[in-house]
This record gives sequence, C-alpha cells and structure tokens, in this order.
Amino acid sequence: MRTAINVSSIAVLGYFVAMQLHMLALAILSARAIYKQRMFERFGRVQDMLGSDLSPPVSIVVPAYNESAGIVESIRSIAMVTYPKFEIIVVNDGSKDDTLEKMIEHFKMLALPMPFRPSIKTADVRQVYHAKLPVSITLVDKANGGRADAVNAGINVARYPYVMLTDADVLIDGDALVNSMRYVAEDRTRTVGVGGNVRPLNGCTIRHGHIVDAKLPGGWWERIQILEYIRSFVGARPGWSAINSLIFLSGAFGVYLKQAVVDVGGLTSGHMGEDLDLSMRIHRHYRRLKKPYRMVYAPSAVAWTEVPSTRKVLRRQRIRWHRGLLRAMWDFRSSLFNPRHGTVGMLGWPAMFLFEFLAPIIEFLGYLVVPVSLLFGGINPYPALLLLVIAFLAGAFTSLLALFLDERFGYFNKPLEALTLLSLVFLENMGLRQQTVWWRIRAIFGGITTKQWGDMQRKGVANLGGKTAHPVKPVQRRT
Amino acid sequence: MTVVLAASTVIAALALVSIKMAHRIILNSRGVRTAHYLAAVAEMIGRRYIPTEIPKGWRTDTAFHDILIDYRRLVEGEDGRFIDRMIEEFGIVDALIPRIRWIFPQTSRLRAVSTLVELADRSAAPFLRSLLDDRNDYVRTHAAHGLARIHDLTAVPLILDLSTRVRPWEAARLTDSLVAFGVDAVPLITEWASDEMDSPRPSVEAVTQSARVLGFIGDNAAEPVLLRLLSSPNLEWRIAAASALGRVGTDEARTALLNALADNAWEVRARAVRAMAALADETVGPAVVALLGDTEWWVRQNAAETLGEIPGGVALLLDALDSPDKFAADSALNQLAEMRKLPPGRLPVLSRERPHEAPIVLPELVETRPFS
Repeated sequence: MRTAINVSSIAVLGYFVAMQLHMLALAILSARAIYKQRMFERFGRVQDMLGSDLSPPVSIVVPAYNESAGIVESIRSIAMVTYPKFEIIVVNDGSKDDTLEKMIEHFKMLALPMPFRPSIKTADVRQVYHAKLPVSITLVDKANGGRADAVNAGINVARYPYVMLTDADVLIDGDALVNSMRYVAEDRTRTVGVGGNVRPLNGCTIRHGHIVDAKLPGGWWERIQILEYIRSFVGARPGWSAINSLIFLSGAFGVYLKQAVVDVGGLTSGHMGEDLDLSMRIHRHYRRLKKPYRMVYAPSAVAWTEVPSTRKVLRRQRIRWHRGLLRAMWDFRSSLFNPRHGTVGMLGWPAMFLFEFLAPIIEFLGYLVVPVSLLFGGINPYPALLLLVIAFLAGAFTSLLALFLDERFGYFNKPLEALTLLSLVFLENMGLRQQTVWWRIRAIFGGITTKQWGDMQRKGVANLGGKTAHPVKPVQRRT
Repeated sequence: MTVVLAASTVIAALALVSIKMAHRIILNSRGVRTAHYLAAVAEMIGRRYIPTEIPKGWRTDTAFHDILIDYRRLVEGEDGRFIDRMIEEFGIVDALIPRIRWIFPQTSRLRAVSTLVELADRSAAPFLRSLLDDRNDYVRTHAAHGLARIHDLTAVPLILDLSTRVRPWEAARLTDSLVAFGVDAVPLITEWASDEMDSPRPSVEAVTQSARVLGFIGDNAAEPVLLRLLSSPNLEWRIAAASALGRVGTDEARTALLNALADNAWEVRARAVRAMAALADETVGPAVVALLGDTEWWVRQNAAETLGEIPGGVALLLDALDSPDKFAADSALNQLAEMRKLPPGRLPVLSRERPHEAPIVLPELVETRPFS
C-alpha cells in the first residue's frame, strides 16, 4: 500500500513537471509564430486584400437567443467590419423576448420567401427577413433548438463559401475578418478553418460597439480569467497552429469553409463542447479522406467576449466545459495516439487527453497522496518539494512568456495593471487552480448526479459599464 | 535547476514590468515627437521654407518619416511637389538606402524599405529594381509597389517574371502593384502574357493574375490577349478573362462573353454573366435571363444581379417571376425583393402570428448540388 502511494506521489510530481514543460514548449512555438505573424501584418500588405479578387466573400452567422438588449449594438458593430464582401445572418433561436421585433424595427427588415437549401437538418424555420443596407443582413426566425441548431440554420441560409461563426454578445475588431481571411487567401485549397483571438470584454470601455480602452476589470475572478485567456490564446494556440494540431476554434470567432461544416453535418445540437466537437469532426473528415488541409489560428483577429464575473457562474461554466470535453474525448477516442490522424492524433489530441482531461484527476490525486506519502516518510521531502517548486516556477515562467507575447497587442500598459497581472501569475496557483480542479472533478461525476447545469448570467454588451441586467443564455464556449 | 528556473522567473517578471514601462515611455515620446514634426512640417509648407539644415536625428527618425508620408498622401499639386523637394533636400532617401543594405535588425530594415517605397523619387529606381531580387519576400513586394509609384515602366516585365517564381500570395501582391502603372503598362503586360502562354511551361498563377490586372486597368488594348485566354483550355485563365473582358467593353468582347455564357464550367458562366453588367448593354438581357434557370446557384444569383443593373433588366426580372422554371422565378424574386422593386401584390405580408403563406424551403432546391 505504502509503495503504491509513494509511486503515485512520484508519478504525480513527474506529471506536473511534464505538463509545465509541454506548456513551455508551446509558448516557445507560439513566440515564433506570433513574431512571423507580426512581421506579416506590418509588412505583408494585408490591406491589399481589401481590393483583391483573392478575398472570398464571407457569411457571418450570429445566433441569438434572448439578446434583445444587445442585439442591435452587436450587429451594428459586426456591420462595421472592414472586408470587401460579406453578409450577416442573424438567427433568432425562438427568443422569448423581443429580439426579433428589435431587429425588424431597427434594420427595417422585410419578410421574404427566400429560397435556400437546407444542407443541415434544423428545427423549423418560421420566416426569413432581409434588410437592404450597405451590408446585407438576413434574419432567420426559427423555433428554439439551441445554439448549435441556430448556427446550422444560419449556415443553411448562408450564400458565401466561407462562414464566420460568432455570438450576439461578441464584439469584433474592425480588422479581425481581414486578418483571419488572409490565411485563406494565402492557401485557399488547404485552409478549412481559421480561429480568432478571444479576449475578455470585462472592464473595457465600449463606444459605438467598439473597444476604445482595454482595462483590467475590478473583480479577481475576471482578472484571473484574463490571464487564462492570454495563456491559451496567445501562449498556446499559435504554437498548436504552427504544427497543424489546432484542436478547436473558439465559438466566439471561427471562420470555416462552409462545405467542410456541411460535410460533417454541422454543429451537434445539445453538445456542451460543440466547437471542439465540430473542429475534431472536420479533422477526422479530412484525415479519412486523406485530403491536405489546415486549421490555423490568427492571433490578430481579435474578438471580445464577456466572461463570468462571479464564482458561481464561473463554476457552472467550467463544469459545462469539462463535460463537453468528456463527451468529445469519448466520441473521438479513436483519434487518440492514432498515427493516421497525423499531428492531431499524435500530439494535439493526446495533449488534450493528458493535460486537460486527466489533469484534474491526477492533480486531485496528488493533493491526496503526496501529503500522505510525506507524512509516512515514503518520499524524501526535499526532492518532492523541489519538484513542486520546479512545476510552480515553470508554470509561472510560461504565464510570463504568454504575457510577454501579449505585449504585441499593447493592452494593460498602466503600471498598476502590469503589476496586477504579474501578481496573478503567482497568485493563481494559490486557490483558483485548486478550485477549478474541484469543479472539473464534479463535472466528471456530474453525469450521474446532475442533469441541469443552469445558464450563464451576462450583463450584455449594451449594459457593460451600466447596470447588470437581463439576458440569460447558455454559453458553451471554451478557452 | 530550481535556482536557474527561479532566477529566470524573477528576471522574466522584472523584464515584463520594464518592457511594459518602456513601451509606455516610447509611445509617449513618439506622440510628443509626432506632434512636434506635424507642426514643423505644416509651417514649412505654409511658409514655403526649407531650412538649410535640420536636426541630426530627424533624417532617421521613423516618426518624422511617417509625418512626411502622411503629408505626401494627403497633399497634391504644388504643395505635393514642395514636399518632394523637402524630402530630397533633407536627404531622407540617401539616409534610408544604407539602412536597407544592412540585413539586421530585420524589422528596422523592413520599415526603412516601406518608408523608401513611399518617399522615393525616380532617382531611386535602380536601387528599387535591385530589391526585386532580395531574399526577403516583403522587401520584393514593397519594391514592386515603390517602382509602380514612381512609374518606372522598365520594371513591369521584371515584376511579372518575378511573379512566376513566388507563392500565390506574393504573386498577387506583386501584380497588384501593376494596376498603379495604369494604361501605360497594358502593352507590356499583354506582350508578357502572350509570351508566357506560348512558353512550354507557362505559370498559370502569374498569367491569371496578369489577366486580373488587365481587367482592373480596363484598356481596350488588352482585348486580344484576354480573348485568347477566354478561348484557352485552362479553366483559371478562362475565369480571369471572363471577369476582365467586362471592363474592356468592345464589340468583340461582348460577343466573346455571350459565347462564354454557354461554357461548360459554371465558374466561367458565373463570371461572364456578371461581366455583362459592366457592359451596361440592354441587348444582352435575353441571354442573361436564360441563365436565371442555370443548374448552379452562383450563376443564377449573378444573372439576377446583372439584370438588376443593366438597362431594362428590372422588366425582364418581373417577367421571370411568372417563369415556369421555378429556379428562374426564385432568383428573380430574390433579386427584386433585395432591390425593393417587387410589385405590392407579390410581396407576402407575414408576421409572427401568421407565419407561412408561402413555403420557404423549396424541395427542388434541396436536390441541387451545393456550390463549391
């Protein structure tokens, strides 16, 4: 028994070191990718795309459920995106509030018997409306079926060969679309997906649907998430993208080849990790067909989304995310260590399994067995402590590296903000991490004990800086 | 190892704070300098005065360069020529060239290239031409745009030759630069494209891009080579030529485009029918109406859009509403609705309470092949 505990303790400590080293390696890969991307952005004449035949038109699909307060502001913000040719498709997913009426009234939309091909099966479409403005806006009114179903309905109506999937509570930087579509223009035959850089909106100053000042929010839960987002979107994803192992594109900003999404049957309704599921199905589809393809990450395509501001909402979100991951792990178990799935099967998906799926279990185990082992003298305290310190420092170093890379975006330059972020690098390991582990452990066993995980309370884009309000909406995004 | 890692972490933390502070200071300092330069250059232009000597740092300061670039873009005529004289007398170009000859640091070099491209005069043409052979793709692309800006026509064949040897993205950016040469470049581009087509292994991408440029420039002298491309077996060339011919607009181009409406490839039909809009010729109406019932969605859509733009097209769309071909009727309906030109009786009045008066999803459309 004692031997088993001791072996477990050493394995757990070794696992921590491996996890931090993997993140460090990713951060180094990301640094290279971001440097190349930055050079391209400054000197690659990306803006020339705006007048070029190389720019394929894009349909922007925005599912909306009870988004009455923020929908007009959000669509106006999207309509101001700089790109040669695009259309906006808003899908009202059976909202119980006046989302539909607000859209019709504000954009002076007309009901049209618009014919379209339902390539993906969805809940009943009640009506299609259209507004003739400088940007084509189509509004699809359908019966409630969830976010995935709404996105699928939008894809059915989309006219253009590329679809950008986003949400009604996301603000998109003006050049985000051109910065993501340049990857498509570079290699149109292989590029099937481009993910954007999602950043927390909390604390930012918004004017006319645009971020005018990015500031750190007041709450510690929100601040910690900013560090997490930076580590994920700046410190890891560019690295995964560089080795063509990007496992998923965020639901807040993802551009896909429409045909690829249709070929895999669209988004899966009711899946808690629908973005991960979609990306993995696209990977599997192309691997099976043995067609060359790539899914890439565009760090300079920035989208802003609201993150949970309270512990309670954050808990719900993390539990949902981990349950989505569990289902995806089961669904795509055949991809794990599968050489036929290339770098995704041998690197990306195994890393997801080892350092996302197993992490809470091993970490939880570690909190139990290492103290016991130390208590009974099974392991030498000095090397154990040393390993712990190494794991802690490697983690802090990785976070610092991600913050360095984030300097390229020029946010949070005030002295106090810099110091706050710096303190978070060290503080996040003293409580939040353990809290997250516990939530994820709950998610694993939640399938048995919990059926309903509740919704996320959002302030809404229109209300940020004002009173907390209204829309209640299920959120199934992951960092 | 722990000590090394701990030291690295502490150093990284201190470096992060220092960098953030430095960024802040640099940005503030640049803002102050920019305001200073802005006022100084405005005064020089206003008083038509060029100082015999400027402070040493100005010639190499990127903030000063940016101000000159901004003024150069905004101001034309006599003021523009005065700024050109200022740039020459300050010796900005002479200061940039040695910087470009140094390979490192790369960012600073690339910045110097992009500045040179904006500020260079014709005397810098040989140096810019030499940059077309640079190892760095950004330098090559910027050099092409610089040569276009100073209208160095001898560079046109060099840029086109270069576009055959590089990646599609760079080829597109290089050929984009040719548009700025205008009609003067058309004979050179057409001659190059003809030679390339006759070569044993022509570059499909470069010839396609040259056709695109000819279309942008829109000079009749491009017609022979575009007609040749439209009749070639290469699909990419036919697509590019069909788009470009719409802007050339002679009788022969019109006839060729009408023939292209029957091309086997839907991509060519779609481009050709859209090019008809640029001809603005009402006699092409019946041929375009025929494509409202095409098997491909893009062709139908483009035909409807073209009818919406050519003289007499709206009447033809209204007629098509009663077409026995359901595809044609739907395309016409969509286009008229989008143009807000549907007769009152044809627009169904629907509301949330009374949702369906007409089926939205047409079973016939479900059967069609999704576009690629």
